[in-house]
Amino acid sequence: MSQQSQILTRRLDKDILEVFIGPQHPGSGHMRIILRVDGDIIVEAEPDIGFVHRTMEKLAEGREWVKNQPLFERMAILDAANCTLGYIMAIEKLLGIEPPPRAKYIRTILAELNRIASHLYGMGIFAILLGHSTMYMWFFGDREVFVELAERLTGQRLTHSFFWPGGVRRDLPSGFKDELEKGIKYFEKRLKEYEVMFLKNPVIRSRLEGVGYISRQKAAELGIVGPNIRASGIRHDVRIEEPYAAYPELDFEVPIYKEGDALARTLQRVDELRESLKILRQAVNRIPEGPILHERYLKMFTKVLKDVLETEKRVKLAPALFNLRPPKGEAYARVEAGRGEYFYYVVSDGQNKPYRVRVVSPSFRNSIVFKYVLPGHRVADLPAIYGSIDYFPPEADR
Amino acid sequence: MAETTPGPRYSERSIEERMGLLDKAKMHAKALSLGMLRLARPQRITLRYPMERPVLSEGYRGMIVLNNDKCIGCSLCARVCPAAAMKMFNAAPKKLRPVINYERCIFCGYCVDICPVEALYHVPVHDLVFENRDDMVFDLETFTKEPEEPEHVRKVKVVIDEEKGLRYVPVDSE
Ligand code: SF4
Ligand code: SF4
Repeated sequence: MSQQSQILTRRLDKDILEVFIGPQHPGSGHMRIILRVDGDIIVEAEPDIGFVHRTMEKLAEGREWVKNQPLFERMAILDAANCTLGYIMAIEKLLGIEPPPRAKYIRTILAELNRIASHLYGMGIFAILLGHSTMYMWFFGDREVFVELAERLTGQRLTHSFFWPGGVRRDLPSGFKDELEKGIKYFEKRLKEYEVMFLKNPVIRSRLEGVGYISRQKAAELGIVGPNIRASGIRHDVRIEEPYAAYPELDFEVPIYKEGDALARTLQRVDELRESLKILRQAVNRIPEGPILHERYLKMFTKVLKDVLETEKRVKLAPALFNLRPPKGEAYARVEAGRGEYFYYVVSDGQNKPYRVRVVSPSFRNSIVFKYVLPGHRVADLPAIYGSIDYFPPEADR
Repeated sequence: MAETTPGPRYSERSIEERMGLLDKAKMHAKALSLGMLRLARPQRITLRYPMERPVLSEGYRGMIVLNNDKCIGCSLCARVCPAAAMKMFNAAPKKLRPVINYERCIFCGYCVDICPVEALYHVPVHDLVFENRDDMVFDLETFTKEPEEPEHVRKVKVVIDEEKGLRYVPVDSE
């Protein structure tokens, strides 16, 4: 052996083929699934992640606290508000402050706009993976309405960077309530059309029914999160388990499906869209008046800063917020994002930069699903399973 | 608090029975007729960019312009920039001024928000074209001038609409 080649080789079992799916952007980002197939049947699957790893946790240690917001939102720019909210909440815990009620409501509104946009994005990819290009266009087109609304609120379509520790950066623009109501009414109509075109479409049904089944027990064992675990019948939603922002004051349901297949996961997301509309409607109607930044920082505002807040409803970044030095200690925060639970653990050593930031993102937890769910399915079922998990590689790799 | 609310809660749901043959035929027909309807009355939100451009919303975080007279050279904007896009340089002895590199800028608006004298502001332009990468590094002269939009562009206002989702209204037709 040693006389021959230096290259290691290994024998595959007879008739087993190894197929590499990716890493050139097979679905929603760069990742690779290594499949071993026997004929048309997948016998083994290895999710191979890490192609878009950007060392975010390490980078975060070298930047001032607020500067990490634009960094973390690049995990999932389509869900930017939800994936940075946890970080900001963890800082607030370190500082021992709570944002004023109005700021909490604005956070909730942006978080739900983002959830809708993120679900529609995921479902659009899902539809095109199934070969349903009409729905792909519809989902992405309708997402534009919510992206536009988010732009009016934050000033940016996707990378909102919208939170300050202790508040938000802008107040609701004038006329936002009516615009949001129009958007909601439009989307409610569209949801009915989705049903005809996609959810009850016999072709889609036969591709999804019974495909990619995750049992309740398996879902718990693998520790998956978000709509995927709720579609397997497990009650887990951070908005209920550990309420944050304005969620405890709002009336909404978190759907739970027990079937656990790709169809259940799809219906789960569509039902969540409906609930998000309900949340948005309540939030804009009930939003209390008041400041949108914690008074500790408002007190430090100079005259120029106060004028801008009065006239433009824009909260400037007071130097005190930039030079934040949270007291020594550690804190964590959890947030329910579009794809599931974001977990942040931050450690401060009293400096103006974090000592450590740990992020656990939902897609990372969900990526393990491929290993256990794909075997036993046909290769043609892979797109349906991949799409229904709503896996987003940049979020998993961080 | 006006009414008492039950608050957030879980609700168990289940998928209805598998579709029978008749249901399937019905849903096929429905999907097809909806497709036909949308063929006749399309739900189009396509914008003919770049000939048509939307009026960006008020407060849009677009490109950044420096008001040289207001600036006091405090360097806060360069310090806060998370992408290291803004740098200070000596415009004259003892006169520091910021300049911006659009190759790096991520339009987070932190610099505009930290400026203690409102010397920086956003303009509703975000899509200038540069012929080479060096042009993306602005000097004081370009940084203090508001970028201009090309003339042939037709501006449309984006309106959120109950029926169509988004509607584009040409600005000069109002
Ligand atoms: S907008 Fe953000 S990235 Fe751009 S120059 Fe200002 S602080 Fe830097
Ligand atoms: S923060 Fe404002 S005043 Fe200070 S250097 Fe920058 S532009 Fe000038």
